Amino acid sequence: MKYTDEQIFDALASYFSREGIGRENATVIGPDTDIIGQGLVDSLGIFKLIAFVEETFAVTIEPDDVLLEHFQTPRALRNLIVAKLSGEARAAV
Amino acid sequence: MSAVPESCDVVVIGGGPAGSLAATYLTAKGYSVALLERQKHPRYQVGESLLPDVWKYCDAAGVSDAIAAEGFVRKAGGSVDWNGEMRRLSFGDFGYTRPALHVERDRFDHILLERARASGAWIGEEIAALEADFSRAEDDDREIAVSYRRVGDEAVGRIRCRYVLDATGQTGVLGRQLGLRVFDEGFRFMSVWGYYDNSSYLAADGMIHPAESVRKVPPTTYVSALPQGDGWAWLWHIMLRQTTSIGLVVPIAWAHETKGSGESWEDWFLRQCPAIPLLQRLLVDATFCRGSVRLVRNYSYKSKRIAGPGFLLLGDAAGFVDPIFSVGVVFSMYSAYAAAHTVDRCLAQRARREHHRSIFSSQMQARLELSRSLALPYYQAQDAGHAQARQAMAFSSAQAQALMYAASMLTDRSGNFDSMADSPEAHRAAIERVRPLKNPLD
Repeated sequence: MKYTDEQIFDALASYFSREGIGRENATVIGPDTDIIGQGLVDSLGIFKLIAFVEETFAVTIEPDDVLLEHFQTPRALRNLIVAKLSGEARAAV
Repeated sequence: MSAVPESCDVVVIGGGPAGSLAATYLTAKGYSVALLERQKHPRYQVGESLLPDVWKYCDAAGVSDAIAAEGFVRKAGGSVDWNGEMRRLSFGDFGYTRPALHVERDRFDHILLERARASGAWIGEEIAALEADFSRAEDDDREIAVSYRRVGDEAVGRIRCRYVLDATGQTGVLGRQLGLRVFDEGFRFMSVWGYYDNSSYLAADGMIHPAESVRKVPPTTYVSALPQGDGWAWLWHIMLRQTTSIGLVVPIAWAHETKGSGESWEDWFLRQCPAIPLLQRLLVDATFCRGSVRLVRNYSYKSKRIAGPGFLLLGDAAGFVDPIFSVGVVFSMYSAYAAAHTVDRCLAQRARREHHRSIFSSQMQARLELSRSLALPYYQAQDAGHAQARQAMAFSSAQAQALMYAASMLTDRSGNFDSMADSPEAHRAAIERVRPLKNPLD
């Protein structure tokens, strides 16, 4: 399965909205919002976010993938998802 | 008490904060839960100082209103006397809007247990879990058997379940059964603690206030270095509604050297407390509660594994470090949340169980390593856990990071943290929020 950047960002945006992430401070989450540093996704939220990404995009986030550089912003997440999808596409060939 | 169920989705062993919250979170996800607690609540428990972080877990469990209604002592922060410097840390200075608490744990833990019961979990008090049989855990979905015995009864019963959560704290029922616990030989400390009535206390203004002011002028948790043990020995002074919890954390060898032959730990404790000038001042009008002294010797440990086929370890059952920063209950609650999420994923996606457990393990271990790096003297950047600790730090909000920087600096344990600071400016700004206090004895 291939996703456009827009589809990935839309999926993440609707996830944040559904979970009420950013609602408290009326934060508008853009592709480069620091969702970790601002505390929008905390140590609890990370579990749900991982599950959401795995189930929505049919990828596996390994424990070693759970790094700040992959989760700090929606754009970082998009890069991780794209890398996972292309990696898994290769593995399937 | 109703009959013990013959089977359920999840058996939770232990009715402290980790067990009660895990049971509450799991019933909310639709699972049937049996919680086995060997004691009858309310029961005694040490560990009365709670960080404001507990509220988000209580919110998630729907128990915040009950806790707020109880009227526990709200604390203003910490007063720390370390190497001759008296300093204050206030949670409000770090953007926290909800209070930190000093709680009687018998009462606090009972409220959480009753919440689990109200949520629909089956609660069995005075039932000791003996062991779990995992021999068929991977074959069948409902074939883990937890054996138990009611207190005062010889008969052994069994509950069949799909997952077991060990929330038995220092007892570590599964850790012991499976040989998972590893003690920190490098941290040879013990804790001896007891209770006084009518102790004075330090408030955020740096002044000494009498016990009866505790509801009007919020107390701080008073922490002081002790001269024994290379700057790693310390004391706590925690004002509760009726009594005050006072504890000494000291090298095991020193405690045994100084204890007279035939002297009880209670008498030893009563000899040590007045030898500390500021503590002595706070205890001038106080009365010791006879019979209240307790101790723990095995002070710091971790687990070789904290998850495996059919089980997860929670809270103190997973690991424990020097409690100087009051992270114990928060860690227990965090692990309850993480465990409920993980059990849910494992049961929903059988083929991916191992994957979900590995995420649980790595997140929990990283958080434990972060606590260890805050608290342990010999923790070094080259330790295997350091990368994990760094990662847990990186995933903390700016607010939480600032608090950790400041807390570690208060007790001169900041060496570990200097190497974790990605932003020296943020590190410095956090430390500047700590305020100097005048020592009331000067």
